[in-house]
Amino acid sequence: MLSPYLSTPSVVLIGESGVGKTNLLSRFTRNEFSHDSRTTIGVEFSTRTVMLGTAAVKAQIWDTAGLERYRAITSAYYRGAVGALLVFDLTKHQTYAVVERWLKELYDHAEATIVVMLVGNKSDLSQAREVPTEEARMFAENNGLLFLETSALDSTNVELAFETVLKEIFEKVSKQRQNSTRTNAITLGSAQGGQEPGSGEKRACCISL
Amino acid sequence: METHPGYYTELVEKSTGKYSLATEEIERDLHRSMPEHPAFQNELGIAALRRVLTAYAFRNPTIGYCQAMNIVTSVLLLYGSEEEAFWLLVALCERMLPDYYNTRVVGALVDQGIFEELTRDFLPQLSEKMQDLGVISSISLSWFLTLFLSVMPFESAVVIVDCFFYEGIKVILQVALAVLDANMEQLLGCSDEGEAMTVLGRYLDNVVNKQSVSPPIPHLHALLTSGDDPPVEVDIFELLKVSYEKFSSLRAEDIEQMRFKQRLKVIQSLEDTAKRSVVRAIPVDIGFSIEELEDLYMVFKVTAQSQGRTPS
Repeated sequence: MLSPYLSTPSVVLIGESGVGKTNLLSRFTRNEFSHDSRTTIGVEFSTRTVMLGTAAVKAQIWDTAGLERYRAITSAYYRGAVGALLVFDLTKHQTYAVVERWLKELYDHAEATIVVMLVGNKSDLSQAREVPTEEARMFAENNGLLFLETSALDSTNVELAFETVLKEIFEKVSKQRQNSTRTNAITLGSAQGGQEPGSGEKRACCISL
Repeated sequence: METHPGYYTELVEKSTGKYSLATEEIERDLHRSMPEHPAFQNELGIAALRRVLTAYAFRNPTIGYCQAMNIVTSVLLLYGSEEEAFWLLVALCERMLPDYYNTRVVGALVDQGIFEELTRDFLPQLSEKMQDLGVISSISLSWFLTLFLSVMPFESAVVIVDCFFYEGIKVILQVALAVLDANMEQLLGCSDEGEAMTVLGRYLDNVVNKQSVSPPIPHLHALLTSGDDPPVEVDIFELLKVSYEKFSSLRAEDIEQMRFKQRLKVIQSLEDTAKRSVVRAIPVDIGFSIEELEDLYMVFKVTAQSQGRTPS
């Protein structure tokens, strides 16, 4: 069967347990939020079609369990992903302190070309903030990540976060197409991942939002 | 319970107020276990769940606490006393679902492997397609870890849990096969893993229990998978009946044997993944080939193990 969409890029949501990954997903794909959503077991999945310029893109979003014991299973999803939202809870410093470990985990399994956005979620709880915006932004810049603060509860920046990642993926792919005389150009939406490009390649370049 | 009078009470007393990684994780998940059920919308239910999970983590530190135990334990608490719920959890973790909740959920991966094997035997037309899509591994893990509780409406899933306590894992495998069977045509038409997951997710969301007399509990999973098509309702008793008619030739002894075989495979594949990711993380220009690096990894691993540590 031919897909009616140009492509179906897949994006993974990763980060510590309880930071709000599932709610970011349900806010983006269904415009719904639940104060007490259930713990994610293994991997969940949802899609949403967005317009990028004139192209309709059906984004596949994989929501993964944050718990350590599920890591071997969830990391299998990093491989096919072309984008990732690395989420922390800006009211819990501990969830930010381990971002570096998550990043390493991601790069260990994913393609080097993966577009990564650092996301500080729960920005509606500003009185309980434990991670200063500037600190997280600096970290993102230094590590070549995109950065945004979101609130799945009041919808702030949720759309923007996903769309920015998708746009960045597309720009990257079109750039790569332009100068792809080499054979290892990445193909969007290929779940198999194909050959791994050289790991010495530069990570996503930094964009300030 | 009768042979260990006072054991649970004593465990609760000993474990109360003790801090550990497990208690921290339990605390974070208490309100995210069965939030849709009124029993867990007040401190009474939450406190009981906290005590049972904490007591278990204290009894068995090698398992401690694993997400999914919270969901299963919530249901056990709804149908028995707190002490009974505790002992049922013991039976689950230590006998009926061996190694399901340990550090790498090996037991659940083993049964998932059995499920794939059975799909090949019973539904060969589908098996190849499923393999291509990689669906079985992604969707069915939660079926096993939560006995369908996290993917089906509450009133329906408890019927399966009931059968499970009577007949064991056979029932879960049987129902899992029946679910694939019921969706055969649609699954064969799917072009990727995501599509197949949506098909199965939507199907499970709409498995209903028409005999249930209690007020319906909203089904959370549907938040993620519900689509625009009008849902087709499936009766849980019908699904179970079909599963018995078509797939009940499974025998408990055979499953035990398959578990033994799959276990080696699963552990080997976890090891391979670990090795690959370590080797991949090493820069390409250090002058060793991939094979040499993999050999080195094994040398380090064996050395570390002989010193009682494993490489991370």
